[in-house]
Amino acid sequence: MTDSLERMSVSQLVERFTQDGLKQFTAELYDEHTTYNRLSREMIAISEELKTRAGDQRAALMVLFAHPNPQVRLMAAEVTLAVAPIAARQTLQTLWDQREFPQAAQATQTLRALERGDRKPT
Amino acid sequence: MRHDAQLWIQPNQGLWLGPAYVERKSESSQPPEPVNQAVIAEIKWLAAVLRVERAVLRHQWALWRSGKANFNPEQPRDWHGRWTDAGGSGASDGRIRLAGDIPTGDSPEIPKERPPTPKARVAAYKLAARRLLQFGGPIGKLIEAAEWLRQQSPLIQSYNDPPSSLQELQDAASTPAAGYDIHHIVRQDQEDHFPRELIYSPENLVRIPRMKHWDINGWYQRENPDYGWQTPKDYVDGRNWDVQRAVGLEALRFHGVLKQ
Repeated sequence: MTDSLERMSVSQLVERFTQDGLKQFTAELYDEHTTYNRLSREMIAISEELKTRAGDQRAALMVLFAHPNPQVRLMAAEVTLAVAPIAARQTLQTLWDQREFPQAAQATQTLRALERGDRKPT
Repeated sequence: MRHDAQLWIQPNQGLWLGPAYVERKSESSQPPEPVNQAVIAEIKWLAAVLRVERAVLRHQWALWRSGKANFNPEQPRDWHGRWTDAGGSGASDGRIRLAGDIPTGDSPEIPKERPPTPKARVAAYKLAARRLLQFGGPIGKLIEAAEWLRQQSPLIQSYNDPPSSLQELQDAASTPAAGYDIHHIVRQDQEDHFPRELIYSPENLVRIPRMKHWDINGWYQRENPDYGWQTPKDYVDGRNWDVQRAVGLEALRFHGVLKQ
């Protein structure tokens, strides 16, 4: 998979990330946790690939902060905390404020971890 | 804003005591890094886009609930969330489009007919309960749109409960009710590690909305960035009672079941 990610353009990586987030949304609904976790690992790999691109292209995922699907917004925010700390936190806060569960639960957990200093995005 | 918004905990209202906090060594805080003005402008712009997007989604939902004629949720929208007759704005500003190249929405609708499989029915219950929680309004409106959900109205309605105190949740554990489950703060599957008297003690039992129970069980099984991308279940396995209880209480708070 890593090889194929290396050959993708930034916009293709963003699209793949989005598709994975949408699949995760469905996997959560249907309690398919193994699928959900596999997709998480793939999304992390995509963000790592974007990080290696010139100038750290993870910021390209910021466009997904306005995506209609809460799982896509959640994962985009989780992996961009280092490059877009304010907007990523705002996205997480909005998930909580809008009561978009279960994504809101993960969002508030991350906000708490950041406040406590337990999470240090890199 | 919900009528009972004041009952909900806010993430910025002080720190909850988490397991990582319990275990963490004190670390010196670092000064914040300076932020580029251009980045701030970009963020403000993105926040504005996000607000518009949320407003459009709320409007869509209101239209769907009211059964307005000619409303088509599949109609394409431009980058700013406005409905268009074509396939989006064309990304003339050089940004990646949300409608078009990037897949949008795709959130499944609540089926009007009862799904044939238990798994699909559970997914539909979740969708219904989450929409009721997010958008409010009487449950009757949901049932009008999907009559088969009527039987499950206690299940869906209980998901909408505001957070309660630990004492309230513990007291309720002695009174089973439709739409609710008895939940073990330190997980029941830890019986091999702790005495049964502790696992089944009144202090460890709470009555919570059944679908929140499902959410929390799912949360334990999904890899989590705040546990170094391991599952909370793997994180707590083998740890002491206090850590497991702290994680269990955190899970209840994160899912809007337990007040701060």
